Amino acid sequence: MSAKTTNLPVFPLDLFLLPGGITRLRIFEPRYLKMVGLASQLGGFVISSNKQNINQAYRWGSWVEVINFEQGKDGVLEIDVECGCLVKLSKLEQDNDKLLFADVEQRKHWSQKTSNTELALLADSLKTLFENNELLAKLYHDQLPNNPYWTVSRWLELLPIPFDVKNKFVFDSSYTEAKKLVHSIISQ
Amino acid sequence: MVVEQTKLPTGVSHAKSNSMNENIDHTQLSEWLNQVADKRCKNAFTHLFKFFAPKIQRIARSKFPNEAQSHEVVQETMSNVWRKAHLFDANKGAATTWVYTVMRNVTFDLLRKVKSNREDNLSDDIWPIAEGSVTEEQVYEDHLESNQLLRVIEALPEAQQQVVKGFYLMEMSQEQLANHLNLPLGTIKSRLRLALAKLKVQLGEEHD
Repeated sequence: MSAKTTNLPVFPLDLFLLPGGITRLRIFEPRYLKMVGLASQLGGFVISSNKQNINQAYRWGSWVEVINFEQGKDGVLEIDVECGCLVKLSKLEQDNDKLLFADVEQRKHWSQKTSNTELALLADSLKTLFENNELLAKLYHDQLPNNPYWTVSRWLELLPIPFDVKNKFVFDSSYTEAKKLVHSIISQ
Repeated sequence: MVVEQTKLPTGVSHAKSNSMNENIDHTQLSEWLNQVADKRCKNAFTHLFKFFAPKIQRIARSKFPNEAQSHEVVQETMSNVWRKAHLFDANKGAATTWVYTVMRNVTFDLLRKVKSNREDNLSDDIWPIAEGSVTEEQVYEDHLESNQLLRVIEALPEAQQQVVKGFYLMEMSQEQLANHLNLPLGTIKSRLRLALAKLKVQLGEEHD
């Protein structure tokens, strides 16, 4: 990955999103509407949680791009964003509208890898989940790549485990540990 | 409930407010309060509002992290003054003392409310996992000390954080997961606990 830094707006949100992950956001605060406007010129924005560990090496975030938008029933702007890569944040600063900006630098993560290995059980269970959840089905257009890294990443995002634990999978823990964790919850 | 408020004025705060504001026309203020009490005089109340509102606002602003809450203190205090003016007794203390006592009680109530909201939030966040329970506070503390920007974000009104949470997070609930896997909720809970404990051990072995 290049060490090139870019300055992007930051959306502080306790959301765990790995590369390939898609989520829907509802934007109603003026400063974040402004952020969405800027995102199209700047090539996206960064979602970064405030719940990060003191001991970790740096503050990280998910660099996302807006892939779809519409107006919700209540008139609120809804955008679908997809995470392209994880980034390291530095030089956080707020502008006059209290919108946060940071210099970001791309970081490699295991969730970006691909492999043909089958994870039959986890993949099948995830497929059923997506089929039964209207929003998930819509966001991912029923297309679930046959890639174990992708499958484990989505499970990690969706499972009800504390952010703090998920956070470990950005720094300390490997794919193998993530797979083990998901596996031990989904199938026993 | 009404009586409580009138009995609270203390000598200390009385002395303080007097020494700070020597040119206050206490007689005039008492008269306005009495007019509000006896005649529900809106004119007198307007005078009281003009006199007290900015002062209350300024004090409240120093007690709460945001503007909205200090406005709430002004609103609440002044509406209490309007409703309870008949309880003011000029023989017991100055009008300023009485109004500031009303304000103090309003402030306490509001702070209590804010605090209990926060506790609700926390308990929701950390559910049954013991090992996860410490971190959030630590993070919060660190933000307070080391990074002012993060503190600003942390200080978002609770309501707004709730809204953010409810709207955005795609994470499944434990109930949804139990449904999906067709297992009892209790099983899911113990599975999660077990899995996280195991993870902790694994990480401990490899990284310490």
